[in-house]
Amino acid sequence: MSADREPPAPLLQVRGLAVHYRAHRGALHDISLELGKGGALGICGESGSGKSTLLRALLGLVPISHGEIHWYGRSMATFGGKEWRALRRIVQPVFQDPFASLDPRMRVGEILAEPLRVHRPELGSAARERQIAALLVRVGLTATVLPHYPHELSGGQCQRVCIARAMLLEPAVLVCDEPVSALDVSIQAQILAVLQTLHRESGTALIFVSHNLALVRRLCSQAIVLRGGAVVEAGPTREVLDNPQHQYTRELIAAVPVVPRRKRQG
Amino acid sequence: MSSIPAPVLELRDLTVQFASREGPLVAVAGVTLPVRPGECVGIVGESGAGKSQLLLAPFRLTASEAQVSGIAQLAGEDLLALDERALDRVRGAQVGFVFQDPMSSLTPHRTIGDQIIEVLEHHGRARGQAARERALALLHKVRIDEPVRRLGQYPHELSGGQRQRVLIAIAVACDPALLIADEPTTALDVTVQAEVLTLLAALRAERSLAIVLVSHDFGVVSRLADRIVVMYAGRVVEEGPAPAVIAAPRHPYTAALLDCIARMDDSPDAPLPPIPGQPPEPRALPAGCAFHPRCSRAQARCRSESPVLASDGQRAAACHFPLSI
Repeated sequence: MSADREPPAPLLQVRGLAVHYRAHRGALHDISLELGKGGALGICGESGSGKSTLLRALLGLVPISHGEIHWYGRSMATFGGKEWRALRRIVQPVFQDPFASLDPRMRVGEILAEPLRVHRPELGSAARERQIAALLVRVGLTATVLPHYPHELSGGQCQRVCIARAMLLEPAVLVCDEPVSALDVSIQAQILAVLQTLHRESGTALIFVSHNLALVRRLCSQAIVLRGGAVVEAGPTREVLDNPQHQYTRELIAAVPVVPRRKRQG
Repeated sequence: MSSIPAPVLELRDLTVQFASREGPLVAVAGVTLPVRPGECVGIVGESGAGKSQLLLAPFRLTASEAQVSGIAQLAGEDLLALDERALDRVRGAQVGFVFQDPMSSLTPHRTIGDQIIEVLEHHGRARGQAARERALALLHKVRIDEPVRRLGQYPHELSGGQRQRVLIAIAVACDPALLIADEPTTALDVTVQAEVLTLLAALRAERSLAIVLVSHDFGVVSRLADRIVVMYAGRVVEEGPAPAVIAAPRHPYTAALLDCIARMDDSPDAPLPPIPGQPPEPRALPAGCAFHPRCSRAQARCRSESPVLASDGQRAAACHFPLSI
């Protein structure tokens, strides 16, 4: 297939996705969305809106009732072992609780070496160490964290380790599920800056799930608002969040506490 | 001129420390905090700043090894002199508590009604049918939907927001003069958070309830608090009327905290200025001002000399080089 005949398939395309559980909560109804290569999609919604189910569906972790999910133009329904293995590498998750996502019995050095050992067995230990060292710098850490266990690090440091681990395999997309909401506000800004830099410099696409609309507004060019398992509003973030058309989006925005800006005096 | 009413809660030079192999760990270092009737004081700071220790240690709600010194009075009564039995009569009666995680604050195998009635009976406020009616009235008061049905339900049958309303009902069941709310909305969705804050404001207006609201979130605090106290590394670094502190902070830490909040009207191209580094460990406090390693205004004096909290009667800041007034 040559590029001049057909536009290249987007990284991710979801059409009419539905997931039905026996328990109603968490189900999805007729979800469609698209994420281009290197794009950034924000998913806004409250508990029970279906955010987590949607992420799990994208990773193939829940059975789909209707609709289709395409990665690079290929339907997940047709995936074989090779495609699943590739998906595990190109889609990397970053979760809310950095401590819970790291094995407490492993040192940071082992945590970071493991994905390379599994997915890039051809690399020797020297090449592995070089890659790890380079990534640590990019997430704002130094090699001093390598001999430590997760519990010896702060929440912000642990989240940087999680991001480094996710980035090691040069994924096409980072799926971030409330990646800063367990962190102090001062540390949130640090982690946000790391994600923003990786997104811009490496062209890694982002799927960013957050109840913090101001963070979505900063990080994502596209946004969808979920409620009760359905998309109530979708589009360019600046339109969705700065000029919301749906009553629920307006309510969500109105509920965000407003901290007046301080007067600048140096 | 009317005199200032006596504080409901008076903490003076309060210190909370823990024994450790490397010597005492100071979680709270000499904090003075009066809370007046009907007032809402917001305590802001990062994890580990000592916010919760400051409010919970005087009521012996922290680890039993905590050594508390200084003065802690509730309505003139010396809390630090009370034995466990006497303190048990104070907690839940004269002061109510609401914590972050309503699920772990409720007993999973007992109904909502039983848990509210228990508090009323424990403090001798009502028994039997009268207690049941009081419990129902309390559920009405916290504006929970279907209050009659809730009485017979278990905590897991309720949503997070409903559980937090139940906790608030329990906290105000005995009509306390003071409510201590430690991150009461942190685990809730934004729309539910807004409802819970509205509820707290209504209860406060109705009963001239004093509230101490502990939160890492300036947004939450600014919705409710008259006065803001900013803590860093176990000390108060700034305090004053909430609008004044937010509009024109004097301590560089307060200013930095305010500047790194993402706002809905931000220009997305201007990066959020993060505060570099992280809060210090209590066992390894820097010399001088504890904030100096993270402070953009730090000078030689900040590295050697600890600043005192200087007050002009209205506002106070502990900084050698405060932002201009």
